[in-house]
Amino acid sequence: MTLGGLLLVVLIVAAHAVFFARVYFIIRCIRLGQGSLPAAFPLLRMKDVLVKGFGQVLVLRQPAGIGHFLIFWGFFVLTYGTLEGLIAGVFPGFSFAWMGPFYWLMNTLQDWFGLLVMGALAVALYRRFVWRPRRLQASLAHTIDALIIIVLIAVLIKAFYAMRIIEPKPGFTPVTDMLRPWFVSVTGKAAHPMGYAAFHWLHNVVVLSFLVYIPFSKHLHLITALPNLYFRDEKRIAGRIPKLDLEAEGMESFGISKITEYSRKDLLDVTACTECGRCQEACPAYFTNKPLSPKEVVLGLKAHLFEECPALLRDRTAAPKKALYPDVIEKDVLWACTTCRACEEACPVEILPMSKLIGIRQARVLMEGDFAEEAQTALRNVETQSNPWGLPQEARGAWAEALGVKTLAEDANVDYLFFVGCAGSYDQRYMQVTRAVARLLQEAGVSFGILGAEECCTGDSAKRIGNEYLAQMLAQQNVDTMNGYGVKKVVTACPHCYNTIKNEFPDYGGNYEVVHHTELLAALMQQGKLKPKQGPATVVYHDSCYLGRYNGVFDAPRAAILASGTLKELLRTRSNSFCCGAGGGRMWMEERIGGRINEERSKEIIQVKPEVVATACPFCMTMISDGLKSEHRADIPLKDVAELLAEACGIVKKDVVEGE
Amino acid sequence: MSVLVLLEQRGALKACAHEAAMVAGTLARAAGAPLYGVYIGKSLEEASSLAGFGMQKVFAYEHDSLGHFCGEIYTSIVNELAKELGSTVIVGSASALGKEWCASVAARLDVELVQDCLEVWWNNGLMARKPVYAGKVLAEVRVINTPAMVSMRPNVVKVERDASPAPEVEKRGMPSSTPRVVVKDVALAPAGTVELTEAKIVVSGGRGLGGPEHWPVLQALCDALGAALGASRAAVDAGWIHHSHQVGQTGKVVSPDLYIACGISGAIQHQAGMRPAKIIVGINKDPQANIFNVCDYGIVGDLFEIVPLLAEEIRKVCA
Amino acid sequence: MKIAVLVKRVPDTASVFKIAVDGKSVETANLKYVMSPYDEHAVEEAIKLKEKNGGEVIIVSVGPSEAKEIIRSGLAMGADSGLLITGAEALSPRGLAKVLAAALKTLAPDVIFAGKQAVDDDAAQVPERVAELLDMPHASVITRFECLGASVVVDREIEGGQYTLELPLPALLTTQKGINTPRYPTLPNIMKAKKKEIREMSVGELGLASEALAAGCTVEAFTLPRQERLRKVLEGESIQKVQELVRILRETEKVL
Repeated sequence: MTLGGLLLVVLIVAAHAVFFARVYFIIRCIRLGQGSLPAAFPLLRMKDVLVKGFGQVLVLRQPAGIGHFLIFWGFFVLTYGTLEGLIAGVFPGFSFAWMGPFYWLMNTLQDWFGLLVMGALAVALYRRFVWRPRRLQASLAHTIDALIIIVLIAVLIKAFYAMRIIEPKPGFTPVTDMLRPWFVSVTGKAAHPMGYAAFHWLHNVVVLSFLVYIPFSKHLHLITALPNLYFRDEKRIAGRIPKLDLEAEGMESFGISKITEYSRKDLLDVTACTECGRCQEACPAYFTNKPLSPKEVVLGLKAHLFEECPALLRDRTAAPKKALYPDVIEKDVLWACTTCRACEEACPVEILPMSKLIGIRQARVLMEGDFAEEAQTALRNVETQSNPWGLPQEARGAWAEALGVKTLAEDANVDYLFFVGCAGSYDQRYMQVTRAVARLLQEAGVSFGILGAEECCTGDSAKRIGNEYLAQMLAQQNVDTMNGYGVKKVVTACPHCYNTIKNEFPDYGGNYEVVHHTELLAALMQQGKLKPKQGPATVVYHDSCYLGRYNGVFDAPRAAILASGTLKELLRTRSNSFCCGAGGGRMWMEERIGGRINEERSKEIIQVKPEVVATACPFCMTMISDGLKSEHRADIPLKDVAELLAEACGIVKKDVVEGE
Repeated sequence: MSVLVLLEQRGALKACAHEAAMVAGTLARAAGAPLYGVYIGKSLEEASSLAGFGMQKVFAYEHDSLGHFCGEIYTSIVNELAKELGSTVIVGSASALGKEWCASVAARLDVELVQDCLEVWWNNGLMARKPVYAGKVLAEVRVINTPAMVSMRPNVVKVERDASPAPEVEKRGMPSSTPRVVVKDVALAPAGTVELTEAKIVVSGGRGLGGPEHWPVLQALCDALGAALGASRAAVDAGWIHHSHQVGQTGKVVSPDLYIACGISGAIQHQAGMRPAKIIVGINKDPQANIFNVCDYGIVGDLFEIVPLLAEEIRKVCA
Repeated sequence: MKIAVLVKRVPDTASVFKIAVDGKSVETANLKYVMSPYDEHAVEEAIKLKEKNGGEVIIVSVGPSEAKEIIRSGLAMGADSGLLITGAEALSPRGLAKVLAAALKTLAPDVIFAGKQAVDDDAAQVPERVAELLDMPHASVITRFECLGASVVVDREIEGGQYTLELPLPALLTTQKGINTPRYPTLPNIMKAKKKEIREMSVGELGLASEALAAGCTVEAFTLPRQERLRKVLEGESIQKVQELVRILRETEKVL
């Protein structure tokens, strides 16, 4: 072994030592979290990693993802050569040539990917320093971080091409071949043993610096992203908030008030962030200039984790330097979230920023009773009268009398329980939707009943504000009532009820086949039980977060609209739909910071010049209605999908408005 | 047997003192008992205004230090006087101070008290009608034992006088006692400002107002009615008025006798704030507006036409 | 410092009230019961005082045994213990005050808070009577409270203004809505409240003479004011509609 080889060995060992020490530290940090990483169904997890990780499916949902795809695969391809180069640095003359055709193939791919990656890097530089989309605007430190990585990779590839130009390897290498004459013309000759050695060293040193730099930088995701996909928490996915055990023995703290109270998966989550900013771009709170950015939430938690951990690893009971709330996550950040889940949908590595905030909300509400006064009013009302307006619970089924809809107490022998929800029971406007649904179901001969005064709020708002205690009481009460009547199938006219009953009631022993009214109505149309007449109106449909993004119901409302008019899509639609601003209990809080989410959404709606706007959620209806009024476009009719269908089916308007 | 009325003053006699005197006069006539009044204050200047109630005598306890309500002294004066007169029925006012005064006297005399009466009458004994369950139910109460006390809700009865003369005034001095409760300060809100949640009448404006420059239209109606000014969330969100005026689910819940909603659509979030109001009037140019489903009386019309007309009519009629 | 709070279990006034068959009570089957809203402010003020000056807060109520739930909600806000006096159903405010005064005498609190009125019978007199019976200085409808040690300073509401009063302790105060925002109970406090002591005693145990408690007044009838909104849209020319409205508001509704 030469002196140079020896030096390289020392460098390799040192770089690996630093790298693994840092990785070990990070693993220990993550292990400070609660529980263990979810690991059931390893085959499904492997599939996830293959499709979403190696297939880059989530990354490729945006055009910029192409660049990432190239760099991602370029990394693997070029690592082949890197490895060869490193070994050759220690044992001169070493090569993978014995691999034969594979060697030829890999050399070919390296030549091509070198160029592609360079191209991707150029685009990355252009986006960060010239174009600067909002989601990539970050602090100087983060920008420098990105720059360092881009430069390191660029230097690496330049060194690679220089080496290949000087010492060609077997393969179809058009890029190297094209560069060679230029190189020769500049340097005057083709053979440069010293030059080769210099580039070889440069390449190896840069590779090793890169190795050291990765786990200290945002490129930590190279290490954590794939495990994060593998360990996805199926209990939390799609916005489900698992039931907290409030009666656990010796439990004194509920929700998240310290970083170590997060689960290990939550902590792995925050280490997997690459600061791509897709979550921030999708966030309605950020879009309306509120202090919340899901990206900053995750980065804040990551920085906090690494800052607190050294002390905590020495002593699990060490007092934190900073309080998770309000030092790391401020009040206005915490409460700005509408729980629309756009951030979680947007994340290419399935980080769940919204869920992190819910945990802190739970601690604020359960441990401190600290949340917006207006929302306290709503929850107190829910406690006494089971609806957020504090209207008499007894009057809950009053809308149904004129339509001859029976309660399960009167007749439990029905196919469907129509779970009406608070808005559908009390809000004069939404009661028209309730009646339209009921009339359509009657028209189609569906046997259904309601719970009437026995129905309670499902606790969606309470749960998402963080009042797990109240939410559990409400859920249990509803489940007990529903199970008491032997309910099997449920149709709801509210996506929030829908989501809670479908995804969270099973935690309380409530297992039902749950459909949203648009799903049931679409099915009835398909079965020919409803025969709408096609109308001329151009309808724009606004997707409800809790129906669409949360539960994947995109097509049923559209099918119902298409039966009665023509459908026009918004720019942000389906899983990219933009929140109305009312979710997560925001319906019951003032929106005093920044712009108004419902007005932004209404502007988008007005832009596409609809004749009619359709919604499928009481919150959306209220918010969009207010938004259209604010934009002075109250003239645009705003209807629920069921109302459109009722009209198309010739159900007289009077039936729906007055319930007669 | 006699009837005694507590005449509440703030500098001058309050309107509710005249109302109580009239009610007490009616009772005294029906029961065939003499009516006396008790005044506690700096000095009773307007005994003549107590004519027409059949009041025979008013006992005026005058002293500079009696200008402000002092529960201990006020209570012991009435306690002594009622015993002296052998009062069977004592009538007071259910004002903020009057309720405390009546309750304290009732305790000292160990008699029953019916507070906040809308109506009292004599039917083989004292009868009273008063709201219970925050006005959701009206109770008709029979007072079995006398002596007893009632307090009248202010602004409910209409003062009507007969030809009876003004009462004789018997001036009395201040009893010697040192009250334990000391009045440190008295602050009177500037005239014309009425706190929203306590207002008897509220006039609210919404999006239909069109802009902050139009508040004077509603303010003129408020002034005519002595009402507080409210607003819907839409008007507050638009930045037309401060949040403290907001009526609704996320604003204030008001419980006035009369609520006039101008240019407000009446969505459920707003309803939640005005629900306890006794009478709701809706003014909106859109005949389809939900406010007409949740009000008692509705006027379909441009608020810029209707509201000034209404203010003018009220000034005319209530002058 | 010993702080007592008088609370009452009342139906939520948002409930639908129906007159029972006897014509002088309300049907209770569908009523939701809560702590009288003004009492919540009293509890909050008591707990704030305790947090500042130390001491204990005792929630005192007269009512059926279900009233324990309401006491429990005061304990969940942070009060220390409860006392429930049962068997007082037939009492008028006068008798009720005597019962409370007798019970409070044994507790000897330094400060007593109570809501300005309970929104069931809206009697608006029990706390003042209690204070008089205990010979305590008192102030009603307070919107600010400050403890100076041996005395307290309060703002007391009057129509269109306020008095600032100083009272020596022990004293009784009744609370008005603006005084504070009752706290939202935390889960640990709800759990703790389940284990806190609520002493229960009957009126009989207080040794009061029954004639001293006998009610001197009785409800003869309950009636319901209009329950539904009229939804009457006035017709005619603008000026006619306005005149008609003013006439109705003055003569029919008597709200002007």
